[in-house]
Amino acid sequence: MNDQEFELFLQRELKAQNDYIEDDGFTAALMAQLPAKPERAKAKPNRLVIWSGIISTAIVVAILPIQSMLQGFASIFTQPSANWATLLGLGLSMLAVSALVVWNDRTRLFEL
Amino acid sequence: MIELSDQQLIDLVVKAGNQRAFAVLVNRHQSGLRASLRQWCQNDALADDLAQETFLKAFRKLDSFQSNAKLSTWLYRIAYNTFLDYKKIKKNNFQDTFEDIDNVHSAAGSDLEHVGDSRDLDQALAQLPEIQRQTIDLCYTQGMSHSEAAEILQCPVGSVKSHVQRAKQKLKSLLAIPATAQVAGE
Repeated sequence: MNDQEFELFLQRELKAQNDYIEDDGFTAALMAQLPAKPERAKAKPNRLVIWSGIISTAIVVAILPIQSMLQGFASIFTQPSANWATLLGLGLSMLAVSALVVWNDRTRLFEL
Repeated sequence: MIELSDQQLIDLVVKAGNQRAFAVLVNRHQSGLRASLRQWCQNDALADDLAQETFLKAFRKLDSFQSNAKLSTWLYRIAYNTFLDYKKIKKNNFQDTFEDIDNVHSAAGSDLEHVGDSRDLDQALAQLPEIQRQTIDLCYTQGMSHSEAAEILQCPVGSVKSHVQRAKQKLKSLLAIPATAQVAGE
């Protein structure tokens, strides 16, 4: 028997062995063990999103007058009486953004 | 009745939590997967347990399935990893199981004479090294391409080809096929 004939013999015999295995309750047994829902995969940000974030941040940092902004921000704390409302607003904004991030992570309404 | 594709069924499971759709997928793929695991484990009950575990893992991770991939290849890959994990955990017991099977086959298969007898082929297959048996199962019994087998076994395509080649040589010698028998007859 040459190689080609042996190849055909193997193909024929092994294909013939591939008989359909009857389900015989296999699927039912499996379905009884299934959790309610499949796990939701963590959204993976793609490279384009990551790089555009890095580049736009770099551009913003390069353009903005960072020093004067920092001085302005510091003045919120150095001028106490007038700026409690600003601090409160800042805190509430941060809380709102954090809540949105957590909520989106759970519901995955928006793919980030 | 319209038969839904694998991807349509996956969407129903992932987006609508439709478990019936998953049952259809299981029913569609259970036969091939169980047959392969039976060939790899040489133990039907164990193979069915591993197949159950494979489908459970697949259900949990169905959301991460890439729609450009082939579901059967993905399932076989999970099955292969499940098989390897089981082997790691039960290493000694598993080795014993294989040794017992090998002993039975080598005793029974010592006088292989009739080429084409499927029992002889089974016995010869059982004597192949595990990776060669798995490669033959995927490429011949399941009819997968070398690249699909390589993806499942997580090795280069070249390795799959050489496993197939070596397995065929060994099968030929185990089945005691004289290379000149046909030539002489022609």
